[in-house]
Amino acid sequence: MIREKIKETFMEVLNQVEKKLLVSDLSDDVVLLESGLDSLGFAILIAALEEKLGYDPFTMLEEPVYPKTFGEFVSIYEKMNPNKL
Amino acid sequence: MINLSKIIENIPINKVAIITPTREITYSDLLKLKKENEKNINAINGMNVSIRTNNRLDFVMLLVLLDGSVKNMLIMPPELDIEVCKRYFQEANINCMAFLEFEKLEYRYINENTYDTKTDNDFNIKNNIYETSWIIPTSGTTNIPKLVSHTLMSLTRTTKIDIESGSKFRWGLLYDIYRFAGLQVFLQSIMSGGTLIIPDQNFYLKDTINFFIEKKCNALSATPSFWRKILMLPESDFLKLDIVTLGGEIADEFILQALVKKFPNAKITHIYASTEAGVGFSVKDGRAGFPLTFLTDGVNGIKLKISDKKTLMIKPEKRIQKYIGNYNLYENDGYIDTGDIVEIKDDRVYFLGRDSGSINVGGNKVHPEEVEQVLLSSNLIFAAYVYAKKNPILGNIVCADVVLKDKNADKEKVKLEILKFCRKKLENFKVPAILNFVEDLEITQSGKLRRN
Repeated sequence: MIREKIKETFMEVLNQVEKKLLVSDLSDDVVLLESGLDSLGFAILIAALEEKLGYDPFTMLEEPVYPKTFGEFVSIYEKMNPNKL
Repeated sequence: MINLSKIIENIPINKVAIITPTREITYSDLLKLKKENEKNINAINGMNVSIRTNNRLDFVMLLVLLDGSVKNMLIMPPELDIEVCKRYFQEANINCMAFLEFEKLEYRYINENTYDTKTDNDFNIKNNIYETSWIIPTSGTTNIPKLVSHTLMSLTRTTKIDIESGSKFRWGLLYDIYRFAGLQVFLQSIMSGGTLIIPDQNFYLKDTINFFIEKKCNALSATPSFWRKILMLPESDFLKLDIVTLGGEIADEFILQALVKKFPNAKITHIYASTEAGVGFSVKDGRAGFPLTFLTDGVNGIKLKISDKKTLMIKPEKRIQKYIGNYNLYENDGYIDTGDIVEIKDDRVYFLGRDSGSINVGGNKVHPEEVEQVLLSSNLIFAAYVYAKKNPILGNIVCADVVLKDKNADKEKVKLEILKFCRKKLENFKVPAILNFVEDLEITQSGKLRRN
């Protein structure tokens, strides 16, 4: 669910900043900064996801981590999801 | 009185000073270069000289050749507009432009009528040693960059001249070397007999990091936003750092902890410095902000206080750095207003942002008014309010609340249209990252937008 939301928002932000997806598919091993979004793009993505999902996991993490791959990025959102059971 | 050549003379000659993708230059190579160019160095001895080149190695060489020999050295970023150059020449009373051609120092006089008569007399006395003033443009926080005059002393206040321990460090250059922060890294390296690794300026960050890894870089200085980007690169796993330095932006607890975790053996230092204030102080305890004792007791001979506007004021031990022209850098009591708003919480002082209201997006300054003007000029918007939103990747991002002219327009379509318009008129980091459509904006009694 969250993964789909992230993928969808990712594509919206790409469109917003007029960039193209540089990989064939957003699979778990895709390196974030080689996906088509630059760090400004990820900053926007995180802000956009906060509006859609209602949380910014990076402000909630106890251990500070910066994700390198798409898989890590998604797992941070899944792990910190305040609505999970 | 110290100068770069004097310092280099005390460094073991075979030590590598600079590494570029194509060359390695030792400290003795630098001294040799100076010897070979003696004639032309003496020819411009005591003059006010400008340096402008887009070759990073040439730039470093020029600094070594001219420091201690010219009176004033104006350091200009290569992308500077020609009109601004002319203004700087006038303000700093520049007599001549220096550059390198195949490692030969060349110079060209600027309009001879502009010579100051006093400096003219100095031309006859050759081979004098000067305490060269390094004249550096501010980053233009107030829109109009001013020139600040420094000496090696005020630029290196926290740079220890300790060749014993300093020489084992291999500094990677991530900053623009033509500006204050990049100069800091260069000076940090050279003044302690270290090695400076200069990547190609067209490298992607990934290539730069790989180059640093290959050349065994063990000391890096960058802004918090740059560090976040580095930590997002898989290559960062192979960086082995002993020194991690942050500066130029507010360093929050999150990035500091992330760096501690990533580089457990590194000394992590947050440096508080600016073109105006020079090197202020450094914080080494790995926490955000700085200890309250700095404010009450001073630090490294520097005194600190908080102004009525809640901005941090710095009083250097000596008034070395100053604005060129009719601007006063100091208040009457000798303090410099840093323009950084601070807040005391328990035993700690934290940075909150800039008093000018400018937004720091990953180290780049954005004036909300500029973005608002562009938004309004799109003709799609009736009113706009631009502000900062905290962001884990870039520190802050630009947000805009706008009132649409056509309230019935297709929101998604018009959003893309507005952003496309902004992208044409503004640099990418200034384009609103978040665009909210609102019904109305709060206007104060004086008819201005209410800013928080």
